[in-house]
Amino acid sequence: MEIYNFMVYSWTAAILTGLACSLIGVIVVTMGISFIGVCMSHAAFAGALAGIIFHINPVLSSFIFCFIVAGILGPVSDKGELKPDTSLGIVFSSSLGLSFLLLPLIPGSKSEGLRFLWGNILTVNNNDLVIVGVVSLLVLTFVIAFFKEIQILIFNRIIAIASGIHAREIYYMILFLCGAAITASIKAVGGLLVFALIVNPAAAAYQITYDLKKMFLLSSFFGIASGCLGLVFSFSLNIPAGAPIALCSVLIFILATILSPKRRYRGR
Amino acid sequence: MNKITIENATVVRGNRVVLNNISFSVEAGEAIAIYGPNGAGKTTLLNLVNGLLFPVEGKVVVENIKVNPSTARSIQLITGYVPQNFEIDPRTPILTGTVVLSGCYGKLGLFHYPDKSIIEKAKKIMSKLEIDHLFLRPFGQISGGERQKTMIARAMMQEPEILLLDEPFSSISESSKEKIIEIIRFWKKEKNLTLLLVSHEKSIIEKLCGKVVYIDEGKIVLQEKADGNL
Repeated sequence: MEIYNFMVYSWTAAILTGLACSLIGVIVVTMGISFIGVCMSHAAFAGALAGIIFHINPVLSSFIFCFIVAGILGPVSDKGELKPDTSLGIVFSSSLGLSFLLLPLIPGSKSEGLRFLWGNILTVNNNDLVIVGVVSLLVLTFVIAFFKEIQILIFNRIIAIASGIHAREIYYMILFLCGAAITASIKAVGGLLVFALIVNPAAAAYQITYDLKKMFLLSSFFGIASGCLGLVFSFSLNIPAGAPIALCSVLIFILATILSPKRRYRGR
Repeated sequence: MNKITIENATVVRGNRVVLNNISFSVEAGEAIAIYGPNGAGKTTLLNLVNGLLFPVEGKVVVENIKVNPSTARSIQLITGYVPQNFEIDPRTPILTGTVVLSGCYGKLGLFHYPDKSIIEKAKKIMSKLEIDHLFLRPFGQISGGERQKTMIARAMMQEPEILLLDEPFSSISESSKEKIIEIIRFWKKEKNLTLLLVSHEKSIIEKLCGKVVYIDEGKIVLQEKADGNL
């Protein structure tokens, strides 16, 4: 019965993390702000370390750190005083620096902290599944409810604003949901590898279709497939699941690029 | 009655004064051209009117509403904006028809999607501009001229009271220009549109506008009728 629960938890976590990350990934990849995934994942890692040190639930502290980063990145990009890659670079290096500062401060073994860096989908529990389930549902609801606004934001943010769309609010929601999706996935996939699940499935779908709806569907499929295939390799080779999940998503991206109808179109 | 009033507006970007103490007004139904060299502040002036930018000094009033961050959205809902040609990744997953439909997204509001009648209306506007065959074509793959026509169609989908055109004909072929000018003139008359046009082409200005505002180095240097008199 215990083995059955462990299997169910792992497969459910693979599906839900794949879904949440790949859906939000479509938005950040098409908006050209993929690096936000790296920023958020490192902020989440720093948050988890702070949680361990100060005896707060690491997932909760990761959420708080990601939301702080989202709260910084939103206004900075609004004011346009810094280029997005510059502001992302500053936030990324701050998160990384903070992580390196916090890691040695963990009392005793560092393995609890490093668990959030590498992740282990085989250790997720009921609470983790509830969190990733709620976040997946939130991301899915957001994509369905604001699909037309997302479409025009992806097209051009200035035109979205000029059309009278609530562009700023929706952009902030994207940042917060990106942080939430990464935090919810960090225990399963790890702070380093969660970026792969944000970018690769969406980038693979980007190679295949010009239709945003199909892109969301394809990216979700690729994200879930990466999670499940990675888990199969993890079980069969007896290795941690994060790496095979990330590598499966890379493989899917390579296949999508080779078979891309867009590539054929450009080649003509 | 003034539709747009700009009073002593100054816009600063970094250390550079882009617009310096600009004042002018536009009456409802009037068509005004903004003319001047590159970097004179023409696009900035349009962006002041639709609330994409705000002056550091002075004020902009549109439809008796002072434009500021809290009123900008209500101004944007009645203002159709055709930007200068812009770069877009050819693989961007957005169809030309969706770009046109997006003109009404602001008025539709959250959680509402275009119904059949709105889609028909978009196709009708696109047909007038001879781009209806592009409805399902990715926007990134159409030509510069087709993109400008699409942006004009998008602005008209918005059913604006004010139309802001920023170099809208720069990539459009000579043969198409005349037809589009006629269409805009028809829309202007039919809907009593107030029009602000940024253009370098005097022939287009004469056909569409009654008055020209010359801007240089962020200042209005001359206002005259499009035929040279005031």
